[in-house]
Amino acid sequence: MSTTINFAIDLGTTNSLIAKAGNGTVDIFKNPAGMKLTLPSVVAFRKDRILIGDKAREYVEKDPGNVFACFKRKMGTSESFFIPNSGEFKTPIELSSIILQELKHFIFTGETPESVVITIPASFDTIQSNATKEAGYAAGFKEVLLLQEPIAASLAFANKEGKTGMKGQWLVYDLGGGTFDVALVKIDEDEMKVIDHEGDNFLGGLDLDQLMITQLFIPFLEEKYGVRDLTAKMLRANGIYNRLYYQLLYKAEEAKIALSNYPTADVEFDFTDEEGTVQEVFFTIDREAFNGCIREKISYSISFIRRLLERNRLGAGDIAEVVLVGGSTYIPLVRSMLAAELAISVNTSIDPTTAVVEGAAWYAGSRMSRLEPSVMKSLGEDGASKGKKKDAAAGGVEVKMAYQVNTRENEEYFAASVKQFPVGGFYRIIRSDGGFDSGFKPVAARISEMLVLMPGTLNIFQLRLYDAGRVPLEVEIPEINITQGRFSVYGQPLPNDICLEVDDADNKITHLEVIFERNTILPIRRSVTKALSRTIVKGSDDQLLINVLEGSRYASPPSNLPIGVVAITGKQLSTDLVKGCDIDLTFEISESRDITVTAYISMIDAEFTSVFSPSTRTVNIARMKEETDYLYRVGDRQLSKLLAKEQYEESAVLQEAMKELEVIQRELKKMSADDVTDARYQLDDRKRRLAQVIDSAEKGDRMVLLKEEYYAKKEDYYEMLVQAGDTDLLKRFAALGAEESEWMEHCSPRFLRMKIKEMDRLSWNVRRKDLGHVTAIYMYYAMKPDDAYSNIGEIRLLKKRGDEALTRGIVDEILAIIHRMYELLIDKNRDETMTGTGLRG
Amino acid sequence: MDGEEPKKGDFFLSLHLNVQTMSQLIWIKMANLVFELEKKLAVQLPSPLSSPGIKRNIDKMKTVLEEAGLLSLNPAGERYTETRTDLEASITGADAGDLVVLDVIKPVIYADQGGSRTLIQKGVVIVGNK
Repeated sequence: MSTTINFAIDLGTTNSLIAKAGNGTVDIFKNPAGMKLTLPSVVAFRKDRILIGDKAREYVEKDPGNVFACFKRKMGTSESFFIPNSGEFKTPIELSSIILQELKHFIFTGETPESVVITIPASFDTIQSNATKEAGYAAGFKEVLLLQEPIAASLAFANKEGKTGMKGQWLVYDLGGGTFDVALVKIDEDEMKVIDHEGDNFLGGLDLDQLMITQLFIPFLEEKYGVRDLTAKMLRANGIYNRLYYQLLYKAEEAKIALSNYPTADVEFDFTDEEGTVQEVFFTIDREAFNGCIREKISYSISFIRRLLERNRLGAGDIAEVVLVGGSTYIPLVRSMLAAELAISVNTSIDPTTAVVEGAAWYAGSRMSRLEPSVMKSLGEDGASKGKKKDAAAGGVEVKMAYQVNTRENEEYFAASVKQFPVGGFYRIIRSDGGFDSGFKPVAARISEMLVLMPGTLNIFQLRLYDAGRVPLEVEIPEINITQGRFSVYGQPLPNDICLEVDDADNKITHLEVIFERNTILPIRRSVTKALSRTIVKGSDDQLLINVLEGSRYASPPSNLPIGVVAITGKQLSTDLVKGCDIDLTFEISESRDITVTAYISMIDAEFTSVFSPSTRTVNIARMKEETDYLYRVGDRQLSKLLAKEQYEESAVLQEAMKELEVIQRELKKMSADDVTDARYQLDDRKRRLAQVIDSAEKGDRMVLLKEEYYAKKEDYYEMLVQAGDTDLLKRFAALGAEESEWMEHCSPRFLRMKIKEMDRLSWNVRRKDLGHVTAIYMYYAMKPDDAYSNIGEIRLLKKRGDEALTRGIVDEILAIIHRMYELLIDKNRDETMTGTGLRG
Repeated sequence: MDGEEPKKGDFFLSLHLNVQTMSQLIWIKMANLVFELEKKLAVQLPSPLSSPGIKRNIDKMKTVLEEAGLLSLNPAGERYTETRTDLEASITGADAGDLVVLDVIKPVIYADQGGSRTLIQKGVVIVGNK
């Protein structure tokens, strides 16, 4: 069974792209280094390595002898380029094949396509076309189909607009980065054909940027800063203004893009003048000024169209539309001048930068590959296929690597020995985050490279070997893992999460918020801003607690190790701290594991700092009292449940724990806040152990129920939100469930309860409008006996009015009654209430 | 034949990714603005400590960016080599000797998602001999 080709490449003069069609869509692959869609069609043969794309383009001006761009213009000629660095010659075909191979590296799906559609300009003759095909084969493709760029672009537009689009004949106007083409395309009995074409190989976006610099930027700078002859000074290689030139090139492109979307663009940058003063430049360019400097060039491009139309004896009425391709066609003047001067409608329905590759991919997705997979397979078994050849080429290759696993340096020396390396082959080392690429380097028995590291983190590199044709070899080489950062004296990253305890005011409990994740390398610093969850009155005993704990972020706060508390009491305050005011908290952990917590309260402009170290553990007695009381309540409730279910074995363990808690409670009552003995630490350890017992006793039982509640609510609320059609809420709802699989298995009942409450809150605005839902809530309160409420007379009246309201079905009216009923309810299940930390979660 | 309805899990995942991608572009813009602001202040203030309030606010902005999963790095003064794909460099002067980053127009930005780091904005820099 044969399959469709699917893969397509736009092999452009300035930039190239790769895409794949499948499942009714086209995916354009991004460069893993920097996530850009385009790869500059440039190859640099530097002293000891081959660079491709963006890196190669940086050296176009500095090392012109060894760097090659625009070689597409030379396709099909006998010209070959001499490379002084290697003493070799390279043909345009070879250079194009390097670009094609590099584009294959963009395919993150792990596929290695054997068939591909490659686009060519309408102007390419048979020899140039065949040369492109040859480049494709040299890049390792077994089947290469060519497609003319204007046809490819037209297919992208046709696909966008359905069958009704693209009738009769139309123009494809392609103004790219460095080249301009216009083609006349016709559809005849369902067949698209390029009838005629025109073009200029030296007209593109780069020329427009240059015009902006010479006509707008330079006159402004010369006048404002009194610099004479700025152009000449900027272009002098070692001149003081050489830096400014590159800055202006970048700023011009940025302004051009901004002016394509907005009527004005702000240009802002600094430069150092001849006196050494830093000048801050700011000026605004409007679209009119921009249009003024590029109008002539656009007019010039339109003259090609006129010629094309005259030659084919066509008038504007004969052309259905002008289809725009190439990044420079985003410019509004291009669009308006084409429409005004030619009186032909302009089609801008598709992204002009990707139209060619997109259309080519649609084409590739509809063309069957002529390669027979079955034949390929048998060839493979005979050892004649590329895959097998790869294995054969890689056979016996052995790589041994040497490098320092941990380092404080920003670069690390890497060396490897390669046994039975492929003669004429290459190696390449890439950092997994895209920040480093060695380029292709010739492989030898010993290879070495300076690896640039990202600071303070684990750097993962991949070494790959290639044969002489730069086809990757299937050799298993382990990842290179280097951790950059200053290690603590303990020589290890953080063993546990470091968390902050915060209040969950709605649930009247506290929970943990992670400050530093496990495995983070020291030293580390982080700031967070929290709001005060209750007012702390000046002079009172009430305290704001910044409680730092070590342990899993999913556990309950009492079961984690407290490593530091900053308590700010009312007595320390010069004025009341009002609920809602901001507190900036900065946490720092030094290499020697000292923890510094700084709290800055902007409202009173006061800063509180405490330094803790693991050897001087801080335990706040008031806080511990509160925690033990809370644990006792939870444990007591759980014990009653177990006894009711006659689970005596489990209840015995819990009973023991409760007895011990009572002992702690008694001890704590006796202890003064400034007790100097280590009793408080012993009690804290005991408390934590008991917290774990109570946690787990509660967890098994509660977790099943809570999980059921969580999943049931998630499903109900989801349906409800979909029905309500509130996309914003749906997005927020989806974000709530993020990383669910990660925390679900390890979280505490508190954490899960918090998640359920979050879902409740998020969906409330939709639920409160749902009559069925509101009725259910009302029924819940109405079914409670009258004596559960504080005012029996009023509750009876409310129930009567509520029943009447149900018959009317007015949601707001029922809700008002529910609110009042809730207020009258005596036991609001506040037995878990605790004072908390004072920090809002 | 009617296609199967997408599974709820898939929907959640794609929704989550879309939310991230859309907001990420805005966060990148913000990271660039914070970088420019810091660069300007460095020129105008004699030392960063001369205004702890401003420094505190800039640090807070950076923290917010980190919370949004963005890591912004300023490569000013770092050694430049042709292997640094995290930088888009314009080379001033002769391409010889040790090159360093002389000026940073845009910072390097990495996205950190689920523990994996990806370069999402190359630093736009001007390099040359010191």
